[in-house]
Amino acid sequence: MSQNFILEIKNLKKTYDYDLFKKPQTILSGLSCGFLEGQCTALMGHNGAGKTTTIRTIFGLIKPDAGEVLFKGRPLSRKDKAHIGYMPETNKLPINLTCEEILLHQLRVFRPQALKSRHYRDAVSEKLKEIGLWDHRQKRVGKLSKGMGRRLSWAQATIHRPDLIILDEPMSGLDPLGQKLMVSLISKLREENVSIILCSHELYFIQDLCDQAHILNHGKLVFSTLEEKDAESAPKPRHRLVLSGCDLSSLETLRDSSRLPEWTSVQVRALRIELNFQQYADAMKWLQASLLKGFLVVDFKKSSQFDEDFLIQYFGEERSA
Amino acid sequence: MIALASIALETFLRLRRDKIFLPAALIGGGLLGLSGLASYWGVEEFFKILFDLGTSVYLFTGTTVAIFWGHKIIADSKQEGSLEVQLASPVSRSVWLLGKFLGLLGGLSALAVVFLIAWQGIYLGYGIGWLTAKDVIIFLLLSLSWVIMGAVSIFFASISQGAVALFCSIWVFVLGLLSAPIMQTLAPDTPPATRKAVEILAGLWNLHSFNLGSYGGGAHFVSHFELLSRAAYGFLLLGFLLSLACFFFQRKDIVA
Repeated sequence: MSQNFILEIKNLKKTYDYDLFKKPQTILSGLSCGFLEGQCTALMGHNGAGKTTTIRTIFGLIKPDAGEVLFKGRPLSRKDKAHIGYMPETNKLPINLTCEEILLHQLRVFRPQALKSRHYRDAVSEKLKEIGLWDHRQKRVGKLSKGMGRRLSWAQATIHRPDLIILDEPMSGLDPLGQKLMVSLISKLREENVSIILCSHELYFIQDLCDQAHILNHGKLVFSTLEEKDAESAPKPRHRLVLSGCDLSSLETLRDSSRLPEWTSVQVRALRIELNFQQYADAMKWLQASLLKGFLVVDFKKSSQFDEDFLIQYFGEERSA
Repeated sequence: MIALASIALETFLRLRRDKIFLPAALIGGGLLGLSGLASYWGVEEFFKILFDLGTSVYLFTGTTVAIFWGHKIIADSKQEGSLEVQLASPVSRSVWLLGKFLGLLGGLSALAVVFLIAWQGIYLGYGIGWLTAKDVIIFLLLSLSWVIMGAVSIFFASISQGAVALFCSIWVFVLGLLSAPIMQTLAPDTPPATRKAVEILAGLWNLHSFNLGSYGGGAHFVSHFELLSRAAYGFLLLGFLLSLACFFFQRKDIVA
């Protein structure tokens, strides 16, 4: 493929046959997909579709029966894992170590080239401040709340400044405030051009953050925005402008008087109005006009419009455990 | 090397903070103290009772902790899932396992120091003076059997579930204690094939090789060659067990 993949999976197959008394269970049946450099790609699928097995295979935790994983065009080696960060679905941290010890250990194990070992403690302090755990640095993981644990997992996955980060359900167990912080942390990584693979069921979150999406079903890729045929059938990206301090009629008046472009769709909520546009230029014209008019701009961003109905047609039946 | 040291340090810290450390140190130290009292009140030779009881306490307490910790450092990592995150790093599985073993070695060394201090306390209490080099060697060799049992436990924990590993390790320990006495008490009419099998088993797996308690307090001691042979046997066992653990662990799917 001519695309610039940071990670590529080719024909991955895995069947579990540990139990003599149970039928072998095929989890991955020839999975092939790629993840573009500098982009955020969603990895979606029903429960048991093979997302976690795919992640574990990438890290070599599970040995595939066939297939290979390429990192920057060559087979992924143990040393390449130093450039990948991993945040698992639940907090998988050693419970009787402190936040500071965990991050320091992570740096010593990953040994990032850009950071000299004498600066490890500074990097840990900086990271703990960034995620708001500085005051809890001496606290053992067992004493942290679930949300704090998620933040620490994030810090563990990113402290060595990876080129690629794999996030498995990063929002799991977070309250709204924690979710907001997580979104801002992921957005910051996107701005730094870090490649991201995001496994999540939170659609609003995927819509806001992801550039590409792969959907798995029973260990196979059934949809990918990188496949031409799928991309054509996929919902088109939209540009969303969320305004407050106005009503629909005042927006219609503004549209007619200032000859602004028509919106693709509009959603009126309690105190906000969400306008959607297919073209970025149209959205920009509305943004400028709204600001001049004195409306409060709550949000302005591009999202990919994967809705539940779209996903359900690809998710199909859930695999039994 | 830095990664290996970091894994070892992390494991050591976790063991030092483990709930079992303090009770083990207190119970072991206390029992050693009691063996001092028992020998003082005993009718037989003071040093014989002291060393018989002392080395037994040292062996059983230390080995129990070694088995428990060896199983725990792997089983806990699996249970809490940190194994998955740690192996998603550039560290190889063998280095990870070796780091865990070195951490265990550190934890057991800390416990051995506590026990030796207790032993020194008994000596000072009875006005015997400071520990001699021979006393220290006796306890160091006994500590080697702790470490070997720790490696056995790590081996089982790396290939099986926690409870299974614990069960198997305890029985391997019992086998190591019983193999030599069974060999020595075989009836004269035992079939040669059975005798040979028992002899081979006792030759390969005999934890009494590390107990020189019968030489404690006396003027005699084993020759340098025999001492080195026993130590070499211990290190060979260690190497074999750790290699076996690494071999199987390398091939295992981590689905914790």
